[in-house]
Amino acid sequence: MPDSPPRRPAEPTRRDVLAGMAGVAAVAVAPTALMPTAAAAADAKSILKASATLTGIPLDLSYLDLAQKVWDTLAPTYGAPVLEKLVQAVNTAPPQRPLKDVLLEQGLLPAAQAVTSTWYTGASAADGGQTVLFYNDALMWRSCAFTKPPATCGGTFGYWEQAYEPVAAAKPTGKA
Amino acid sequence: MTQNHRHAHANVVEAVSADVVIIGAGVAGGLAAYQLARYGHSVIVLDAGPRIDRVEALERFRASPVKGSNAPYENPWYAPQPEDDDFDSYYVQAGPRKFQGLYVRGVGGTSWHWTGHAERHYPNDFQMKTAYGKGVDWPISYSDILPYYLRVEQEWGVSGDSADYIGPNRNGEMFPLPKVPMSYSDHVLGEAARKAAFTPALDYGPYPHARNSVPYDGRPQCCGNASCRFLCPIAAKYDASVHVTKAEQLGARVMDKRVAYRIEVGDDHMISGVLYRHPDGWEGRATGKRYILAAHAIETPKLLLISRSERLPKGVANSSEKVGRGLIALADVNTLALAPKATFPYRGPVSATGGLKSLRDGEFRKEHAAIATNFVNGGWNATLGPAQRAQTLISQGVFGADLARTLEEQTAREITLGSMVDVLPLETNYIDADYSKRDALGIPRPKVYFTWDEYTEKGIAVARQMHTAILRSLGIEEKDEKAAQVQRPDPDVETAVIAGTTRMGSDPRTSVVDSFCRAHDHPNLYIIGTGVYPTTGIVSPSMTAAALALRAADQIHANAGQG
Repeated sequence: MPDSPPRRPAEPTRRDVLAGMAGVAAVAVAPTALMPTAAAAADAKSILKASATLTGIPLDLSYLDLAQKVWDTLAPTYGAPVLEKLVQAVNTAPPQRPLKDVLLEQGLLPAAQAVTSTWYTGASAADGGQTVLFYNDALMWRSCAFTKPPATCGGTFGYWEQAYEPVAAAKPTGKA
Repeated sequence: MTQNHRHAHANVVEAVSADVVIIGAGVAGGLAAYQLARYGHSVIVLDAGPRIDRVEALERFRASPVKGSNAPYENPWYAPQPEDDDFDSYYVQAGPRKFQGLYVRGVGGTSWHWTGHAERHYPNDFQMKTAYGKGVDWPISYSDILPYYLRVEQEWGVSGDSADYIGPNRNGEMFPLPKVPMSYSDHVLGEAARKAAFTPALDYGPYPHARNSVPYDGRPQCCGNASCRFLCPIAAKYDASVHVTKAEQLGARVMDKRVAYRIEVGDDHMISGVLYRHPDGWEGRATGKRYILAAHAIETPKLLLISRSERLPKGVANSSEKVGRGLIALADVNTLALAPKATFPYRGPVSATGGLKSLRDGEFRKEHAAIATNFVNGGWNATLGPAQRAQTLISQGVFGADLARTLEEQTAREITLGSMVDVLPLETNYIDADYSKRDALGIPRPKVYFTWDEYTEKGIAVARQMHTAILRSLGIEEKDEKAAQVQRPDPDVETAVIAGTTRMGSDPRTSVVDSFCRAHDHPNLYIIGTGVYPTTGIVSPSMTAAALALRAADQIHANAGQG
């Protein structure tokens, strides 16, 4: 038995937060003790909000798992502090200013591009796309709603003969 | 088995025997195995690669960063195949052009990722020398092979509209299945082509497809997975696993991971056995009354060449010294552009449901190579196009709603005119066995010599002009080209067509097999597949290979009692 209880950090790291967020999807069946704290949930929302702003695609809580993958993939290369700063910068950027300018000013453009690229392509920007993380769930397919990932059924036979007609247009969010 | 070969069999731990031994379980070998088993012959099929599981292949495809045609398939260490992104990994490139033919070593073979275009050769493809003074004539005519085309169409379940299709005149013959519709993009590009300022006038139409327009033969209807060039996840597109399975159900024995490395020949010039290696380190020997080589146009000639012996120093079936010679691959001429309005690519069967009917056959072939133009359904890159465009935009600092909107807006306008241009069977194009560079089993790798001549260059120039005329008709002007809305990569060697290395002919001095695909030098050896093509034209080559496989199987059956 150790002499003292394990040291607990005053603030959870982003990794802790994301690890906690992964449990959100299982919240309905999880014991109360395993549910993420309110602070963790808030941070999770911050990350998703920043990702949605960068990508222009609304991201609900079902994207927590992918957010964790993006974070875990890029943190070793860009550093968790830089990613945390990026989240804060994106979420507090003045709406009237181009996001690119804000990111450039704060030296966050490379990290922002890596995060956005990883979300869009589903492949790690940390290794030039060599590691595929989530091809079918990559956001490029949500942007290009007229199609879908290859090797998934596209609809009834012959759907490709007609021009694409959106069933219900989802408005992109965020700022450029 | 002849006495003088016994010394070589020390490591043989597996001995198998059948009426017919087939090397290669692909589109030709699989169909031949099925037909011969149907006739009641015992059949063994050896394949160098593994059995391919469709679900595993799908997972491999999704995990691949390259997502090329071979991406879904294991590249076996013991039976290597060319890589999508590295054409030097297996081929020994002798130049001057880099050979890029892709094939799969595994049960089902390259048909796992073929286009599914079920095209017949044109009658004049069989008589290029007579009709146009170019290339050589085949020893058979269109009418000789027509009954087999009809059989293959039934076996595969070919979909098409007998009133409107790309291909030679069918004289009213119906397709077994209803047509596969062209894509929206096909119609946009096709109508632009019809109005293009180009001579001859351009017309377009749908391809015949070996993909199910209705459920057929236990396989489902196509639902537009848009991944045909890589893998059909639901088997709506025909692949050779269909007939390999049927052959097995009829009693044929299909043995994977058997890498044939030597064909044995007896004193009577008859083939007496095939030696193979297994990745676990042991060897086997297959014997039969008849042997069929069906290992595609690279591995088949390589196996013949490396089976050289004191008695046959040039290799098996090679008294003509034509084994490996006359390698054919087509030239690929692509023009990528952004159309003025959305064409909605990345939907439906890729690579193409429609294309130009024009420039495939005609008097112009006296002057320049034939051209097959596809209206590619796969945008600028069928699997990675949107990803590449997203990365470009992101690298330019585009974020947020602008990114999402611009990516969609541009991607929806991507078009590709993909033209394949004929290449004649040049003597300078060939494959050889490179004894200085061996694979992991110690088998020489294929050394490839490839280029094309002025006849093809003229065809490429015409294809370029035709592409430009279609773009202009579509409303894409010269100024658009400066804005990177048009890309014209250098012509490249097509990856999908490999033919011509074990040529068919009437004269044993200038060809390897006769008109029934039987080796001139060895009465019990047949060679099937695209390697027997003296010329290839610009059609997808699989249907003719399948037809010739059935024809060879019929002849083997007819002569089964003759020693």
